[in-house]
Amino acid sequence: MAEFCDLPEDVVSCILVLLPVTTLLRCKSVCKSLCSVIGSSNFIDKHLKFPPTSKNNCDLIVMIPVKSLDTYFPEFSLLSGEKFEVSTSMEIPGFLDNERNACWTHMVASCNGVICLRHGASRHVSLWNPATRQFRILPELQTRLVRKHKKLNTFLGFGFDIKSNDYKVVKLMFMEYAFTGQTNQVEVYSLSTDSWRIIDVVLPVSFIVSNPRTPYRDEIYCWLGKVESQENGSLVVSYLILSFNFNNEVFETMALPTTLMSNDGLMELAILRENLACINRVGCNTEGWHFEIWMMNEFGIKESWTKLHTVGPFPKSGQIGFSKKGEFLLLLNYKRLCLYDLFTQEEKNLGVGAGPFSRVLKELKVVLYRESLVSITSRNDANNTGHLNSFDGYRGKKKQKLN
Amino acid sequence: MKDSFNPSIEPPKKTVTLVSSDGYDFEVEEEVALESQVIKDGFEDKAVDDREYLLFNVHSDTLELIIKYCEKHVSSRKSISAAAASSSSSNGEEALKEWDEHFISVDTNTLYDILMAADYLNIKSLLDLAIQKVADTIHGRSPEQIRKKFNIENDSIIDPWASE
Repeated sequence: MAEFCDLPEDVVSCILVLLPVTTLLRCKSVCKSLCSVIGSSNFIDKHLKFPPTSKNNCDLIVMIPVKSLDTYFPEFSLLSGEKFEVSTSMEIPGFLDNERNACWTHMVASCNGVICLRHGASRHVSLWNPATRQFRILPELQTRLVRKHKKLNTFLGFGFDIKSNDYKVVKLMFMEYAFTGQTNQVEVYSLSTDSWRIIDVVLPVSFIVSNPRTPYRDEIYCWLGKVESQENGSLVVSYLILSFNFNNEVFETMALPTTLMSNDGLMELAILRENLACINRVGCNTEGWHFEIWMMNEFGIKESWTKLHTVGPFPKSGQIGFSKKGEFLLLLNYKRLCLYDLFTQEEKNLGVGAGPFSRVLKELKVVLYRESLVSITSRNDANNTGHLNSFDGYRGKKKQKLN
Repeated sequence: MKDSFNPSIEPPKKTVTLVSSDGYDFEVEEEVALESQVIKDGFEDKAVDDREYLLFNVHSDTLELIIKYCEKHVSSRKSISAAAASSSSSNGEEALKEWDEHFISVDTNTLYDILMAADYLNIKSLLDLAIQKVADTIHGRSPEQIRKKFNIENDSIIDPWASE
């Protein structure tokens, strides 16, 4: 008579890969052998790449800033199901109970089930896996910036270096000084070493306009950058795409379609069916707004930009991006999050967003999400365990043990 | 050469002998045995009169079930493609799914045996079916219930309350 433990390990992992993260976390306490299979990096990777059985879509995480006593607290909702019809309010890390940390929290990006957050008032950056409920505050920057600058603009990117199996955060800082003009500084955080490193580079842009909130194919982060130059004494503004490869840590630039290069409309960079895309808002007249959807069919090739759709008119709306399946996400009237099918032109209200703080809803952020077992512990945690645990408590819950 | 005169009579089916671990012979049609990728892989190289397979890991009780599964799938596939050829509507795939569902609703020990045999013989569709069944059984159960259901000894070092 066969026993569970007699099953070959690859059969066991084929069974487990079908299960959601909550069940797997529970299975870890069934017996040692299950615990070691589920905790192994091979299995975590297999689970990550396994297609969901019933759907081939990603869920959405929506962050809505909620106003209370002159500060804005974030609320997170998970929208799942075929048409995102199931909305669940997410449990948030205890770190966000503190007003200074919670205030002006932003979702930077999502990659492999891990969300990178930025906390405005306390200037912290964190990583969060909502499924395993791991939460990690990144250390302070290596260099403390001296407040000599008039203005400081910071932009972040988050992704995965497949070759070294490491999650990384890249931070672009643009400083404006009173006399010397603008300079920039770039730092890269690596989870494996749990530290920041300065990268010596002069960025070809002066400001970031938009980013897709997810890396392109895990490994490359892209931003829509603004370039300001002087021509015959007058200021000329143009736009280009700045990319950062998490593996070789090299920045590159790519051109937009010619008609969008010096376009002063509102553009958002997005990912559409695994390709880089640009959503351009046109025609701000009484009729309403239209959106042009451009896609770069071959990464890095300017000639491969194609205008796929022009949709509209819509009332004043914010373009957000695309679902994994390629449906257009937009914030109608800056109030309601909607899903718009580019082919059938069907519009579906996702039931998120309406509320008394419509002004603030412009700050509503959406990322694509698929739960994973990906661990955000660092190889360095063995000699420095305090860091991760100290912020790990969830609201009203007993503090959790990690691993 | 009767066949050439009367094509409506099928030629005698070629058969293969499968021998279970407890020594029972099962004579099955060639196409049924070929559902197993392992048998299929070395099949052409084997002499026609030597098509006998000793399945040291599969007990006769399990082998009977496996053969039943393979026979059903071979015959259903034929009737589904026949229905498709005559473009008549058929709910063959639905019916087969239902049959599978019924087939795999067995006690835990039998399920293990089927799982092991399907893995050993490399019958992909049966392996997937059994794997899904085990996953469905685990889903939604507490660690204690899983241990009980699957007869697993508790050697866990994890505090069960920590993950709740």
